Parts: sequence; structure tokens; C-alpha cells
Amino acid sequence: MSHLPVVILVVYLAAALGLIPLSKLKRFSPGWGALAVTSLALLLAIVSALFVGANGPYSLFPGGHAGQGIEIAVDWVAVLMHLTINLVGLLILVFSQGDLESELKRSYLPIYYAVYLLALFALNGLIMAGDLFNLYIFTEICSIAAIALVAIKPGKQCLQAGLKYMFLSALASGMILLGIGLVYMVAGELNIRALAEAIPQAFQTCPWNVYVAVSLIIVGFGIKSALFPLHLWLPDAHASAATPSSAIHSGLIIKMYIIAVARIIFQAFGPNLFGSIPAPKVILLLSTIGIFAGSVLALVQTDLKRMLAYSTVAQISYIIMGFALAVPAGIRGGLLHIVNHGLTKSMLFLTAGAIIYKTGIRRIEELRGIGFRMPLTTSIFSIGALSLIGFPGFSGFVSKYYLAFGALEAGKPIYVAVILASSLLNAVYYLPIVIRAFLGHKTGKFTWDQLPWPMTAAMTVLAAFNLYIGILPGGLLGLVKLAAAALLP
Amino acid sequence: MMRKVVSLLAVALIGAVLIVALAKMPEFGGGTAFASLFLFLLGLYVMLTDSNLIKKVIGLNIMDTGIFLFFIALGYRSSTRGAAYMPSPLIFGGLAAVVSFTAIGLAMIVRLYKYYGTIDAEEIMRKRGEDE
Amino acid sequence: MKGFSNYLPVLVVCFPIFAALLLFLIQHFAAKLRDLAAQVIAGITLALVASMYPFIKSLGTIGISFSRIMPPFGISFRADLLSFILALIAAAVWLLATIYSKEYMAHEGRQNRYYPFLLLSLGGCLGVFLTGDLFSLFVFFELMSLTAYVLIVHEESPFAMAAGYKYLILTIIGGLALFFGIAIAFAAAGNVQIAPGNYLFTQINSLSFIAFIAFLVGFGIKMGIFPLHVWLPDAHPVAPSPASALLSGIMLKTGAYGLIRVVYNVYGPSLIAQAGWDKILLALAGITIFLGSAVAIAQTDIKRRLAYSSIGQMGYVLLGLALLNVNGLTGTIFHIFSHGLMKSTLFLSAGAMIYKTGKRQISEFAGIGYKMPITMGCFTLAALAMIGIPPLNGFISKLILSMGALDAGKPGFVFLLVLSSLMNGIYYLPIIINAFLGVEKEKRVWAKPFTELKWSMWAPIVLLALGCLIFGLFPLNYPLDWAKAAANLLLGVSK
Repeated sequence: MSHLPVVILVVYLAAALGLIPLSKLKRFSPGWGALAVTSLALLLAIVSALFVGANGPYSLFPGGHAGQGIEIAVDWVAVLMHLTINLVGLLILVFSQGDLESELKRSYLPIYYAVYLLALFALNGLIMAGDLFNLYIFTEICSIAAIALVAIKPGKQCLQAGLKYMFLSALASGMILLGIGLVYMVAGELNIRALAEAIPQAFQTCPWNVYVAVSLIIVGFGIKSALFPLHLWLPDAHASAATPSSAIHSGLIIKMYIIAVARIIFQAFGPNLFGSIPAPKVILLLSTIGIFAGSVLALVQTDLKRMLAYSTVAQISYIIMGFALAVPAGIRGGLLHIVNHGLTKSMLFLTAGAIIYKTGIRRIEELRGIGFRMPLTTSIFSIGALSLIGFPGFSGFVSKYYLAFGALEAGKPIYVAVILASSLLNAVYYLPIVIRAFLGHKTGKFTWDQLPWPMTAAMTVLAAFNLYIGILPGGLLGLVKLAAAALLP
Repeated sequence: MMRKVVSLLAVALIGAVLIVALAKMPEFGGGTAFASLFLFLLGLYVMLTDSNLIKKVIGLNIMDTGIFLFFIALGYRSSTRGAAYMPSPLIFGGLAAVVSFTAIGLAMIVRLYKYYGTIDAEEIMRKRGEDE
Repeated sequence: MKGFSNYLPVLVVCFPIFAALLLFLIQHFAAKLRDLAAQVIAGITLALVASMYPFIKSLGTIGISFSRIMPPFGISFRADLLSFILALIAAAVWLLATIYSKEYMAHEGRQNRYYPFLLLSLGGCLGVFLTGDLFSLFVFFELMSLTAYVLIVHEESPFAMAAGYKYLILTIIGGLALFFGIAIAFAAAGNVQIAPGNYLFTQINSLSFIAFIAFLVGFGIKMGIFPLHVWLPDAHPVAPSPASALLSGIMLKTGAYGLIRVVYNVYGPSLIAQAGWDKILLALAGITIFLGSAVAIAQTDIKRRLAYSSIGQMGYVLLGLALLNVNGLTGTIFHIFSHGLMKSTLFLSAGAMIYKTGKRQISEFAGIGYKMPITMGCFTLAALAMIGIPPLNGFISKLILSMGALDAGKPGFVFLLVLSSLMNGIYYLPIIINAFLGVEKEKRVWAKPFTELKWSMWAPIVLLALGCLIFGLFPLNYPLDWAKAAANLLLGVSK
């Protein structure tokens, strides 16, 4: 039973490799095949979560040396993120069954699904990497799969966005690798637990080395997870990519890098060392600017998906702020927002995709009256919008109040004001869309959306999760509490 | 021009910080590590400034080669610490990553060439501006 | 039976909300049932609210908390005497406005959207009054504010959309401010329960002051206190008249109720007095009373004038609660009650005149008293109550407020109350004079009473106007007794 998380990885990898040859078979649909694999993985993740619930967190050491070398850490962070990744990944995949054929060439579909599974494989591995080697490898696989997911859609914009993303991502990878090298140079270790013991002493002898390593790792992951002002690649990539790609990108990929960097910072370097250098202050400042800049830039966009992309820049800054506060409540808020924003933003991208699928409209101005043509989709969009604004009863509100507690616990009430001010900005750019969709013009009669059922089902389930977490977050909060304790005891 | 100056300054800044950091290491003496850092910075500069997309990819490769060389220099230094088996898999991982980045980047450049008939980034930006 | 009674507040709040959701479905299948169903739902809600009375009388407070919903705060329901008075007047006015809506909304249209949102906002409003902690209060406050937006923009004209947007943004700011305050309170005390003696803040420091300002802004925006009133004169008049009556008559009061809870349950009157923050409230109250009345005089649109009048009246309410003594608080609670009756009468009768004539300017209503004697009669009665003519209910609340001001040693506010009554006279009496004396003698032909409108429109107006008369004139004034008892309870004075 304890090898279940590894089984998930093996299943994904085997499926990713096998999907393309299998799709040569006449009666094999790659989409449904990928769906079956992801469902299996979600099932395994649930069983694995129950197993951890019964027996407590544990680690696997494939190298054979317990406590050093390669480690697969199945702790509560991994459990929480496994559930999130596989659930959201599955729902996006369900959506793509209806949507993808309209966006991609038919012959690319098997490749797309293979790359998608590869991305899920890397994400699942990334969040339980207990050593820097594993962490680096999975980061790279994830980045390359992510680039491919953007660039696979035909069109100039996607290629350009993909190329920009590729260069910045490669630069980030180089920085991360160099940072890891510098850490290894002074500590002689790559295992995170062993590093936690070795680093304080290394810091005594060569503090500069540790500073530079921390900065390189933070900047590297900052580029990958779009910390302001390193977000330059994100709006192009998220706006131009195929809908499922945008959804998995905004919903999952960029956040899992934050988990990775949080593991390095809190588990290897330790909160004390992190607090003793100016990094948290700089990150808090940058995330504050990111929250406002992302929101203001979202406000001026005319393209719906581009607006959602800039909104992601703002929302990711919330998460980073929660972690940078470096107090338990802040980390809980960050983890909660990873889950909630993962569910919400992928839902929003899917609704945007559904609107484009049905009507071809991308410009926000043209969305007037869309609430009457696509009532279900627009209602789900409204749920997502209210959630990100932080209305009580929606999932975004729960993470908002935990982030606020974090700021108060850290003795920095100013960041509560930042969070609240940005909620207002969210309202200013999300609500007019909702209002225009339903009000303020000659109303016609409601007609049903008439989308393919997989698209409707995926969006509805995501909306249901959103409301469920918004009203009864108890279970999730329990899990998040344990996960936060694993990061910051 | 502006971009080149800014990039040069950025690269110089990163280089200065790295060199200061390394120079403060008591046991750090070898010139290999400095040479590898020079390669890293050179690659970074090319990647940031050159408008030829192929050259950018070459810059990326030089940058990562610098990092690998740096690891090799480290492996030599820290062989006495007993955990020296780690850098080699890390470099293999890094190599695989760079090869993949290069491959996917080149593939995208080929397809961009089909659309625009050039591999010059500034040219492409200009043509894109004309399209819109 | 005791166990069941604790679930009554839950039932009262949830019934209209779930019934409203059901109404969305009902109207799809049986459109004709819609109006009746909405009235029945509002009626049942009123009956449920009234049924709480024996339990509150015998047990003091009833309620229950659900800690599993939205932890770590939890949602809790609680009803004491103060909650009961306000819930009762809210449910009663809502029922009358719903009955009135049947005819009125027939010419406005879009009832399929109107009725469910009307009931949702009733649920939110009752939720504000019947919750046992600040967080639940906030949740229902947001529900009410958001659903009220749909009522405000009902017309969907560009002007309505603009007014609605202003309302929405200010409401969101208010909600965020409230949330800020609640987060600080929770961080300070570890809970946000509203219970006698459970003061969440026990120290005067910058954090508790920030929270106080946050609460003041949050509830002040809803209440229309100067300088946070900017949305009110646009949003209230633009809504359909029954919705205006509810917005001005009841929903404004949720802000006042929240402030009462903040001052008397969250901080405690002694802390507020010690810190001197009551002076902020008093200053704002003074400005609000004067400004609301003065600007109302300049308005020519009848509903707009009524809206400004509401701002002035909320100044009275704020004044009473800032005096921090029994008479002041009794006056506040009773004025909330009586202003609910008076202002809904005024808005509903103004709405009836607009419905009948299609005009909104005060000057155009010359001689309307003869065409619509019942409506204008009720309008006159309520306007006189507003001015504070004895023995109507408005007089009693002003009298008690003045006594409170004297008790607090602030006779200046008595002068302000008299001055503002004078100003009320200046802007209400011309409407009445114009309605009855604005035409030549030949044209003064009385219409046959009760034929001017359908019964479903005049009956609610008459009932509300009778309320103004009864709760002032009659010696047996239950609401006044309840208000006194509630004030004593809040101040911790034993009888």
C-alpha cells in the first residue's frame, strides 16, 4: 500500500508513453484512454490519502539509504496536492473531450493527451519530491510538457508565446540548477531532511553562498510560477493556448512550483534562516505589487482569456504572500488558495473556453447578453467570479480569511488591507462581465447552452466543489492544517 | 541598443554577486569554477540580447554548459565529503532538460520560420505588429 | 418543546431563502401561481417570526450554532428581544410590500426575477437580525446586499445601472471593511459571538480602533451615514417603489442594528465611552441629521426627497445609539421600528401616485389629494409622523431621543432634533399643501374612496399608516415596551 504514490507515477508515465502507439489502433480513443488513466490515478490518490490518514505520513527511499539520497516524501502536503492535481486534471480532461477537437488538428490529439499525462506525471512527482534531485527533474519534465501544451495549438500566437515561455523557463531551470549546485557545494547533500541539518552549519561558514543559492532558487521558481515582475510569459501563454492547456496551466502547474520552492525554503533552509535574510520582505513587497499590478492590468484587458491570465498573476501573488508571511495561518491560507484557485481558475478558463466554443466571442465587450444564450455557463462563471472576489459562501472567501489571519498572526495588518483592496479590484473587473451578461439591455428569452455534455459536466462539478468548499470547508481545512504543519512545524 | 545595455548590466550584476559569493568561500580556490561562471554569464548574455532565435538557443546551451562545468569543478572539490555520487545524476538530469528545451525550441523556431520566413525575433515582432 | 424552539430562528431565516429558490422553479411550471406563492411565502415567514415571541418572552434568547459550516467561525442563529422587534417589523413590511407588488410590478415587468430576489433579500435581512455572531451577520448582510442590487437595477435603464453599480461597489467596500473588522476581532478574542458580557475587545489600542473604524465604515455605508451616503439618494429612488420602501424602511436598519451590536456587544458601552469614540459617532450623527434634512429640501423628485429624508432619519438612529444611555438606546430602537412604518408608508404611497399618474416631480402632484384621497391621506399621516406631530409614533421616538440627549448632558442635540423637525416640516408640508390646495377650488372633486387603486395596493398603505397611528396613540404600546426592555438588556441594566 505504501507504494501507491509511486504506482500513480508509473501509471501516468506508462500511459503517456503508450498512448501514441495505442492510438494507431482503430477503436482506441486517446481522449477516453487518458480519462481512464486519470480516473484510476484519482482513485489511487484517494486510497493513498486514506492510507496516510490511517498510518501517518511516510517516506520512500528508492536508493536504499534511509534519510539520505533520493526520497519520495508522502506527507500531508503531497496527499493534499495529489488529490487536487488528479481531481482538477481529471475534470479538465473531461472538458477536453468536448472541446479539444475544435481547437486542435485531429492528428495531434494523441500527442496532446500524451503530453497532458506527462504533465500530470511530473506534477504528481514534483509535489512528493523529498530531495533536490527529484525535485529538479520533475520540475524540468513539467516545464517541457507545459511548453508543449501551449505550443501544440496551431497558430502564430501560440508559437510565439511558447517560444517566449521556453526561453524564460530554460533560464529559470538554469538558475535553479545553479542554485542547487551552490547548496550542494556547501552542504554536501541534496536530500531535504539531511540539508535541514547541514545548512545551519554551512550558513555559519559561507553565508554568501547560501544567500545566492536561495536567491537563485527563488528567482528561478519565481519565473516559473509567474511571481511579479517575472510573469512576462504568462499572459501570452495562457491567453493563446488551447482551453484545457490554459486551465491546467493556471489551475495547477504554476502553483505546484510554489509548493516545490516552499519545500526547499521551509523544510531545507528552515524558516529561521529564511526570516533572517531580506528575502521574505522582498517577496512580500513583490507580491503586493503583483496583486495590484495584476488586477490593474486585468482591468484594462479586452480579451476574456487574457483578463483571466492577468487575474492569475494577481491570485498567484496571494498564494506567494501567504507563504512569505511564514506563519502557520499564512501557509494554511496559501495552501487553501492553491486548492481553491486551482478549482476556481480552471473553472473560469473552462467557461471562457465554452463561450468561445459556442459563440466564438473572445472580447469582453461582446459578451453582452451572453447570460441568456448560455445561462448555465454564465452562472458558473459568476460563481467563479464571486469566489475570486471573496463573497462568503464561495471557496475563495475561505482562503481569503485564512490569508487575513496569516497577516494578523504575523503582526502585519497592512497585508489584510492589501488583500481586501485587491478583492475590490477583482470585483471591479469581474462583476461588470457578470452584470453585462444578465442585465442592462433588451432581454431575450433564456435558451439552453447546448454544449457537449462532457463540457457541461466538468464545469458543473467544478462549480459544485467550489460551493461545497465555500460552505463546508471543514474537511479541506483539516487536511490543510496537517499539510501546513508539515511545511512549518 | 537599450536592451543590450540593460542586459549587460544585469549579467554583470549577477556575475559580480556570484563571484563575490564564491570568493568568500574559504575552501574555494580553483579557476575552473570561475571559468564555468564566465561561460554561464556569456550564454545568459547571448540568450537575452541576440535577436537571432537560433543564436538564442545556442546561448541557452552555452549557459547550461557553464552550469555543468561548474558542477564538475565542485565534484572535484567536494570529493572528500563522501556524497560525491550526487552531482553526476544531477548533470544527467540537467543535460536531458537542456536537450529537451533545445529540441522543443528548435521545433518551434522551424514552424515560426514557416509562418514568417525569418528567424529574427525583432523582424517577427515587426511583422506581427503589421498583422495587427 | 424547548429543543424545537431553538431551531425557530434557523427556520425563519432559511425558509424564505429556500422558498425563493423553489419559486424560481415554480414560476417556470405555473406562472400564475407566482404572485400568490410569493405572498404566501412572505406570510408564512411573518407567522414564523411572530411564533418566536412566546419563547423569547419565557427564555430570553433562543438559538443554535452550526460550527461545521464555514469553520472556524461557524454559523449561528440567535434571537433576543432586539432581534425579535426588528425581525417582526421587517417581515411585516415585507409581506405588505409583496402584496403591493402584485399590482405595481405588473406594469414594471420581469416579475420572474423580481419575486425570488425579493424573498432572498428577506431571508438575508432576517438573517442579519437573527444571527448569534458577527461572522454570520456578515454572511447574511452580504447576501442581502447582493440580492438587493438586483432589485435596485430592476428597471435596467442606464441611470439605474449606473446607480446600481455605485451601490454595488460601495457595498463591496463596506463588506470588505466589515470583514476586516471581524478578522481583527477574531484574532483578538478567538471568537466573534454576540452575547451579553462577551466583549471581544477589552483594550484600547490602534488595532481595536482600526476595527472600530472598519465596523463603522461597513455598517455606515449601508446605513447611509455622512459621508458614506453617496450611493443612497441614487439607488433608493431608482428601484421599483415596493423595493424602495424595503430598502429605505428596513434594509437601512440592518446597518443600524449592526452598529448597535458593535457598540453594545462587541466593544461594550464603557470601553467606547472610555476611549471617547462615541464622540465620533455623535459628530457624524449631527452632520448626518442636518445634512440629510437640508438636502432633502432642495429635491424636486418625490422619491429622491424621501431618500434624503431617510439619511436624516438614520442620523437620529445613530445619535441615539451613540448617547450610551437607556433613553437614547430605547429611542433608537423605537425609531428604527417607527421609521420602518413611516418610510414604507411614504414610499408605497408615493409609488402609488407614480403608478397612477406616471409623474415623479413634486410640483406635478398638484391636486392629487382629491384624485387619490386614501393614498394621500396615508401619505399625510406618515409625513406628519415624520415631522414629529404628537401623538404619532415619530413624536414618541423623538421625545425619547431628546430625553436621552438630556440624560447624557448634551442639550445641544435636543436643539438639533427640534431644528431638524422643523426642516422635516419644510420639505414634507409643501407636498401635502400642494396635493390639497395646489388647484383651483372648482377642480377639487373628491374621487370615490377606495376606487383609486386596487385593494392589493391601498390595503398595505392603509395598514402601515394605521401602524404609525396605533404605535403612537395607544397607551398599550408593545413595541415601545419591548424597545425599553431590549435597551435595558443591552446596557446590562436590570429592571
